[in-house]
Amino acid sequence: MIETGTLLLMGLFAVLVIHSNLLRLSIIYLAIFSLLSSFLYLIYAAPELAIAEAVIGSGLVTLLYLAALKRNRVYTVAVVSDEHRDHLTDHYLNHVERSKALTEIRDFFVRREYEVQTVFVSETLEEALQDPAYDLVVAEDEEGFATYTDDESYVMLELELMFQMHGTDSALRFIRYSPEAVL
Amino acid sequence: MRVVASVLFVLAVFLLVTGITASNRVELDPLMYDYIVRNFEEDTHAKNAVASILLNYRMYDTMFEALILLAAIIGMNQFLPRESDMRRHESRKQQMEESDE
Amino acid sequence: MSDVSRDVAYGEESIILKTMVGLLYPFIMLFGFSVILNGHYTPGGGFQGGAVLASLFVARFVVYPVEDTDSERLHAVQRLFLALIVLAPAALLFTGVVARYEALRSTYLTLMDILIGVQVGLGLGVAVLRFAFFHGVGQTWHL
Repeated sequence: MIETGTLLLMGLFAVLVIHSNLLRLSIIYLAIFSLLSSFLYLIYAAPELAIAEAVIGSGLVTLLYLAALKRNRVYTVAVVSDEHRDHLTDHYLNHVERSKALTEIRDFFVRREYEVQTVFVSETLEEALQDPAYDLVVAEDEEGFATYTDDESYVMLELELMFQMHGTDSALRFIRYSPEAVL
Repeated sequence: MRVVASVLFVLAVFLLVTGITASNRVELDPLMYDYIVRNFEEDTHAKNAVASILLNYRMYDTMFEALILLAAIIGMNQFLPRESDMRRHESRKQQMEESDE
Repeated sequence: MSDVSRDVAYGEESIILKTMVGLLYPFIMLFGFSVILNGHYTPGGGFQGGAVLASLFVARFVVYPVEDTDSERLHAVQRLFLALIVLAPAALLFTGVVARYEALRSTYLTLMDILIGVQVGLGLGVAVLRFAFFHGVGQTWHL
């Protein structure tokens, strides 16, 4: 009876793993699935296997999946410039690439093991803000670099908090926007 | 539709597994089964048939299982960033700052 | 910038976690070795005991996030044990020594269990350290 119930629950969680919308939720369901299977080993009188299954299935594998899920995203930093839109010169590219602001942003992502790529786009600022492909839009004006971040992204919030708490060498300003409001 | 299909699939697998468990005495290959159950204690001096199969009768399986773990870790070592990569990143940053000045 | 994330990460230390893991640590180790050494009496064995040993690395790193674990050296030891795992059956089992001498049989089982247990423990430990905890808890731990 208990065995049948556990098997059916495992089936239920297997279906939930496949059909949940959030990957993170799937990982938690997978951990519960492993826990149920370790309970099943306990019923079959193999306590060592049950412990090993609990350690591997619910502990190590869940950890590895969460870490893998966290870093599989590529963040795109879009650089917008009004005057250099149609003619990108080497001088301008070097100036932006080696600027303290971009180096610090890239440093933030690299230290967290995120993939980060910088693209120079030919769109205007408004168009770039509406484009969902860009996570971060950087524009240069008289006072230095301004960074436009989506106000719902936790990573961008973290980035902003880092610079607020510990200061920044470059005069980097953060402007938060919500994509709906821009539209 | 997909949900219904996968629920049906899980139920079918469940019924199959429980059906096999209910009728497994007849279906297993009797020769191998009988030999191992009768002789594993003298052959390997193990008290547990699973250990005797893993470490004696089917040793190649265990060896290549260990090899798979090694291959996985070699892959991780090759493709993940290391401490030295981070140091290279730092030194490149410093070079860029110096050349700016 | 280099100190930024470290300050944030290492500030979050839980005294409950530290105390409990510190209390359980020797028992986890004992349990792992007992599973390995009783491999041919119980359903467990080298792989199961090794997995329990691997959780020691994780527990230690969660409590004391010091990056002094040299994963390269652990990997080298693991490769050595893998070579032994290939060599020991080649020398003892496949040549028929175990089949001929009765006294060697349970010794061989225990030896293989220890070799596989250490290899799996080091392997899974290195994998988790390399993959999940690379470069400090704070860098990757805010999951």
